[in-house]
Amino acid sequence: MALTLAQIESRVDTEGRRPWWSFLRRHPLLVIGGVLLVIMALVALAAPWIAPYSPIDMKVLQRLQAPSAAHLFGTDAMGRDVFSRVLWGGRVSLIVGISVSLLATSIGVLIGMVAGFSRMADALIMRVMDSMMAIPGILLAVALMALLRASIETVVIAIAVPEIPRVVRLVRSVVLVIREQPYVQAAEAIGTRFHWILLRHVLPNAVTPLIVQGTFISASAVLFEAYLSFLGAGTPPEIPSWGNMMAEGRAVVQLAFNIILFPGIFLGLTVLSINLLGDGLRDMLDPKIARRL
Amino acid sequence: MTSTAARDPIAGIGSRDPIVQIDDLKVWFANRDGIIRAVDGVSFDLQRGETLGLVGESGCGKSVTAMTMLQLIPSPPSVIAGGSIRYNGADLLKFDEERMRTIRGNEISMIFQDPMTSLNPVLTVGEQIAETAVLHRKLGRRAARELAVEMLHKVNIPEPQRRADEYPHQFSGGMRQRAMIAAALACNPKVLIADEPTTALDVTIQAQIIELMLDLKREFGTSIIMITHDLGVVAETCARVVVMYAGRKVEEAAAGELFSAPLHPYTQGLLLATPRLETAPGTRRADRPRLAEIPGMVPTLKGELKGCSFAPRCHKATAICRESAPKLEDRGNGHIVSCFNCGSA
Amino acid sequence: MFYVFKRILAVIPVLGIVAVIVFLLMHLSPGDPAALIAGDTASSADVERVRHLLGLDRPLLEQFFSWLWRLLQGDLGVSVFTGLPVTTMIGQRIEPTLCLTLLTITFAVVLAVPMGIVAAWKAGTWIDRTLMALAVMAFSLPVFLIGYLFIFGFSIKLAWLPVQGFHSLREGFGPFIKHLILPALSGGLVYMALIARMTRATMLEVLGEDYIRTARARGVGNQRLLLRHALKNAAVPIVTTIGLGIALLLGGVIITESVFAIPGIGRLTVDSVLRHDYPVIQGIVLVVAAVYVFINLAIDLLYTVLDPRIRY
Repeated sequence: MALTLAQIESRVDTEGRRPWWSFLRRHPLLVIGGVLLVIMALVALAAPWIAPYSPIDMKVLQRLQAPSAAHLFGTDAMGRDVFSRVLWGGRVSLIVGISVSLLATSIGVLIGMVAGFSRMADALIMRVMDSMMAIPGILLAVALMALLRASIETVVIAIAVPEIPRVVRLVRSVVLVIREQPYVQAAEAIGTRFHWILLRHVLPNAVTPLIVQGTFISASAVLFEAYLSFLGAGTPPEIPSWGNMMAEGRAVVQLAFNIILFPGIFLGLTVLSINLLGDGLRDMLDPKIARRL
Repeated sequence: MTSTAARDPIAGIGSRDPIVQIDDLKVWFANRDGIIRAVDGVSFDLQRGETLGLVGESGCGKSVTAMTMLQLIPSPPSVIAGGSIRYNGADLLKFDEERMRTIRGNEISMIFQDPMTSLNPVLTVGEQIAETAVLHRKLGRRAARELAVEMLHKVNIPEPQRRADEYPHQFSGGMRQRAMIAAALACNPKVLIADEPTTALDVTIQAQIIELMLDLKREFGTSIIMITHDLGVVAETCARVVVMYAGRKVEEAAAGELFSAPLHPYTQGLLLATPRLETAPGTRRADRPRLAEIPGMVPTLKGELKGCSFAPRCHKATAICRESAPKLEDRGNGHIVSCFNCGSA
Repeated sequence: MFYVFKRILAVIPVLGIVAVIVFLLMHLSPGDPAALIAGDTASSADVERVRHLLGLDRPLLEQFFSWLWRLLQGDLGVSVFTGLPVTTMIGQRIEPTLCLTLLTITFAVVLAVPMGIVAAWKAGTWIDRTLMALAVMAFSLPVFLIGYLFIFGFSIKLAWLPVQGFHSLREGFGPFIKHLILPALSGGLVYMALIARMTRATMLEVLGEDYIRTARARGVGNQRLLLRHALKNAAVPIVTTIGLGIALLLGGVIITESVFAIPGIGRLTVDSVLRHDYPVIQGIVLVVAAVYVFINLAIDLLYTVLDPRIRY
């Protein structure tokens, strides 16, 4: 539909001034995702203070109660307050999300650098990465958990490992591209030390896509923790996590859907906010994406 | 002939049989920073059977004018702020999409600058040429293919039967441009708009393409609008020339007159800036005349312009030039120019 | 032809390394793998029995080669828990998984690609924003939650579809489809979102190309432009995503089988993990990886048909 002249004239900003809320308009995803995430994180961090009950306190006489004033989200099969458990569960998801992202990114960066700088190592490394990517992430994580005793640390490792190949690919491609640049070749030619090249030229170019990818990895990690727990191979049952709660809720899904629903909503919102944040970061940091009106 | 006040005093020399009449066309673009007046009140006619040159630097609005003729510019962010484009009397700007489709490729065709990217890489060349025939002439597949082969033959592509089944990446740059011309002329349009058809090609190929276009024009009788910033191409092909600057027409004249007696300082500057091969052999480099340059840069087209748009760069600018915009006037022989201070160089 | 040959050859090292990874997994465990597999309640005699059964008492290299040799003969080992050959156990469960996977891929392609095309065509409008918002939400919700929501909505409240279970095609098309629709949709939602987004991004890129503008200038109409001129160019990245996303899809299938009680490979995996039945897990990982590799090989070969520039 064609624009009319009046519509154009009404859209034009007054010259020069960029009010702060124009940032909001230009990067809506980033702002929404960021704000939502901050809220979820604050809620999770504040759990010890705002949760009305202890998350592990079992009151068997009050099991499977529907949501009420006393128990906002009801109680679960062992009489524990679902609301408190949801709040505490957020901490597990936060920890898992951040740890997996950091772990996978740091290992991935190391391996990726090696692959980018050493032709010989590259061939082998990339084959291994391709093979790792041929195994569905959940399957690999599950297989790893089968070997390890369940704890938050092992869950983090099991989820991080399948994410490493993608980071490696990214870092490697950045290294390869940057190495071909004339200014890097010039630097090498005059004898610049290797680690200097790395720091000054390669890393700065890799930081932006790594940040975006790291964000998406943590979204994935939060989901994977839920999947692993759901399948019985995740966070040990003593620790309240959203995944655990939903796994336990399976048994009573027809009686008390709230046990699956509420952690699920929180999980969904958290992952959604991280995904939005990631999308927003990518749009903001990538200058090739054309701006829209 | 009398004319309305908004149009040029005289539409052109020679036979007054305009097939396209552009009248006070204004095409503006809206972006977050303001309104860009890419085309700001341009008028000219294309006579039947004539080759008209449309000249100017990048960003002067010539391509936008041409693309607007076929409504190829998406409407946000562009808007037609005024004017009309008449083809055989009917205003193209008022046509809806369906009617425009019957015009595109059929009555008015356009070829573009870069032959490398202008052909679809996953369809054969023959299919792309035949498509116009299928769409507009309702030909069957076999008949359309034969037409495609014939068109390839007309544009001097050897072994047209084999080539029609090949893909664009198997053609060279010059051959691709020929194929584009073939596709554009397949349905024998009355008007061909050529937007920088030779700019992306090697010099020797350029000459071939120009000759091809002139031959085809003789054969089909097409009227051509030749858009270019290369004055050499203009000299070879055009009968009349329109010079544009910053979205407006600044001069219009018969080609010969424009080259021998340019009136607008911008045109004069363009001609002086064209490198020439005429220095006598043996002249030392230090003695060769330097290329004259036009100082400054093309203005961004935002906001209302007070005064002549060329004034900031013009060596003849006077006070009045900065105050009000000059109007287009006929200086005789259909030589139209808008300048307060023009005269001889 | 050479391209085809090269691609097929490239598959072998990948499969080989998968085999090595799978083999090593068991040995990467910090504890004693035999003890872990035998379980917490095993006596030391039991642990030794398990160790001997799995050949863990022999030197590593010898284990690997004998395992590899058996593998090449099609022998995936024997389940610790049931004593049945792993191939048999997988064979018993493969039909439901296969049906579910194929149906999910079909839904995904048939629904997601058009969605992506529409979103690209109407980029910037509310249609586009809504579709992409739905896609992000699909990415963000856990598969089993979607599954349970579907069950809650369609099976419990509306009673249109059965809650769980699997009926083979031999028992009639109606029950077959009815039992598979919800699982296919919930498991496939993430996959669909991925494909829709990729389709949209690719189509947008293609629609901005010069040859589309040239085709329009020749009078080609919108529908033809989209489907014949643009889509064919977008096909390669879209099909690539369909292939690469299968890893995601298979993960979703595993979960979905759990939610909808479908007796397929996914359930087998879960059960085996809980039982520490490592040979079965190994076998499943190998089979799944091999399937993935071959599907992507097929897609690589498909490129030569889709894009005339890719020949050899």
